[in-house]
Amino acid sequence: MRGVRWISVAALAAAAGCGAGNLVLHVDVLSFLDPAATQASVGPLVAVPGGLYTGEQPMVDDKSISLLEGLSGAAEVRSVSIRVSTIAADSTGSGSDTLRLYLSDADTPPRSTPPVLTQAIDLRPGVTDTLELEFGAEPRVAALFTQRRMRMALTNSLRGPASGPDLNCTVRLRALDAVVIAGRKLP
Amino acid sequence: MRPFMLCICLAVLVVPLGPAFCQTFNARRMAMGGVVIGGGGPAGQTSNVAYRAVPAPSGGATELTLPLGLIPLLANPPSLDPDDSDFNLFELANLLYNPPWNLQLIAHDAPANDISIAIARDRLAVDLGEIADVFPADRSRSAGVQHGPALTLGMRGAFVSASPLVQYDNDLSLNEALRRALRDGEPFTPNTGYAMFDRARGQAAMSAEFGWAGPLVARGADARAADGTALYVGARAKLLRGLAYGDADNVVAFSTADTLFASDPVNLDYRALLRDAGPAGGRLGRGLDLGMVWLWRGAEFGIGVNDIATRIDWRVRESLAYTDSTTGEFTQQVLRDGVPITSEVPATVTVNAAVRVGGVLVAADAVRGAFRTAAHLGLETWRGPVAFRAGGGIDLNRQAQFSGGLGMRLGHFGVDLALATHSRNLSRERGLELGAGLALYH
Repeated sequence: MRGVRWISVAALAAAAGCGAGNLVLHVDVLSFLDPAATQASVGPLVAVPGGLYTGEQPMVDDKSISLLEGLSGAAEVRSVSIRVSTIAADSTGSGSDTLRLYLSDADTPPRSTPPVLTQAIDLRPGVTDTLELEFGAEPRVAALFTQRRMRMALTNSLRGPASGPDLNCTVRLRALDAVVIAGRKLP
Repeated sequence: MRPFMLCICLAVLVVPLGPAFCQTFNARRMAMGGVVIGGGGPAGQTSNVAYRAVPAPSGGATELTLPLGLIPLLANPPSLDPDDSDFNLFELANLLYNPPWNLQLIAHDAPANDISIAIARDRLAVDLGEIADVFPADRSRSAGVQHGPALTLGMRGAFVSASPLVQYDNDLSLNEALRRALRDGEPFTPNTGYAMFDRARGQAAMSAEFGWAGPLVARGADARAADGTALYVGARAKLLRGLAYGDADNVVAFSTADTLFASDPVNLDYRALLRDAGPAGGRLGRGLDLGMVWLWRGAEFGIGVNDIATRIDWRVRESLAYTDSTTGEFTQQVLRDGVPITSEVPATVTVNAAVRVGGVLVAADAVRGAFRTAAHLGLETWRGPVAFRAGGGIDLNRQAQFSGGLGMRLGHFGVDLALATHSRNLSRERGLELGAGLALYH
């Protein structure tokens, strides 16, 4: 989006030109996803000794996200924090789920990179949990937010009950935000 | 930051503002609100050619201002290297906007707030904080005509002179959508066109001038005396030779799609019709200045109109600049060469008056330039060897400004100090400056 690129470059120039000012980029990553892909309904998973394991199932297999152009040449990312909020609603049975978020550059399949986030969720019968997680991203991930495009994938891996009722649950991604703080790039 | 981007940013920052209230390079005038003090003799002829014939008042002075503002600048020069961590784009822009002649006692720091950009699939909002003040609430127009120092030869009322002339004007505006997004921080919205329009023009020429100024009516031995009266008129014909010309009619625009961050990029459409000429493309021009000064019982009234029907002929190169919709690269294509055009130098009208009320000199003026009018009022009174001065005016940002100062005379020599407020900064906030000058009394 070249028009937006100029806005970002002008904004960065203004911020960086002032010395102390930072460019603070708030990215609502969740908004780029199809709402249907942000939740998974699972079940029934029957109880077996050791629990039935679904393996890693893609909720979002490979999604391209358009961001601002022009930041990578002018901005130096100082920090990126990512906030994830999930709601796990367990109607019957117990088990666990593991959400994994992958982010990569435009040329790399996201799931070929290490997950940015691995979030374990305990599923208890009749309990709805809201889990919030906020963490600082490593430099590789931070740099992605200054690119024009990045790719993401979201998976979950369920383990069913070892005994008792079948597991029926819904896991929904409620928020996925990134806050990027960038300053002027100096040699 | 690349030099090109640096230039663009500086241009974007400085061009919209224009000279809010021209810096006064004369401590006496500065203390009196920047008012035109007609005086008399050749020094007063710039704004009103008739002043050339008006006798200077007794006790008049030749004044030399001191560049106090250069001291801190030389002691702590700004970084011009964009890769330097001390580099500050806003300080540089303010420096261009407000040349460091007077000492800035209250100067506004460059905005240091964070800039926030919020991105979602269908939402883009940019919060520039204090920096948003750089963008004008409405269209921003600025213009100026600068006459350089003149070499003049005169005999009786007639004179010939030569001087350089530089004229520029700029008209910048954002469409409603872009203005709201940048200045008011409203989110960019889908299916919306955003555009910035800028019309800029600059020209330089050498001017050979032929004129006459003299009394039309004079009664009494001293026209400035309480019982004296005189009417002076002047005319100055100009023969101009164009040296450089450039104008640009720029449009920068982009439109958002159904989804702001869709996969298809939205092109930034830049189009400009450019016309330029160097000395070889300059042709002759002509113009006229007229002035009148009336001295009546100690009061003084003047009206000067410069650049009446001033025109310069050019042979320009006409080209189209645009961003290639496929590659996104900047391209300039020459359409025609040697295109005849005639440029205009806008007229400037200066009306001024001065009257002595008791021991107080009261002076006022109004100056109508290409786009706007500025007005000033100044007072001066002497108590022994000390002059007390005060003044004020409405500047081109439509803000009231105030000033005051002192003058001290010792024999033929004097010192003037002036304090004045102004809004010559990017955010148009009030600043305070100190000016100083030396005076040689006649």
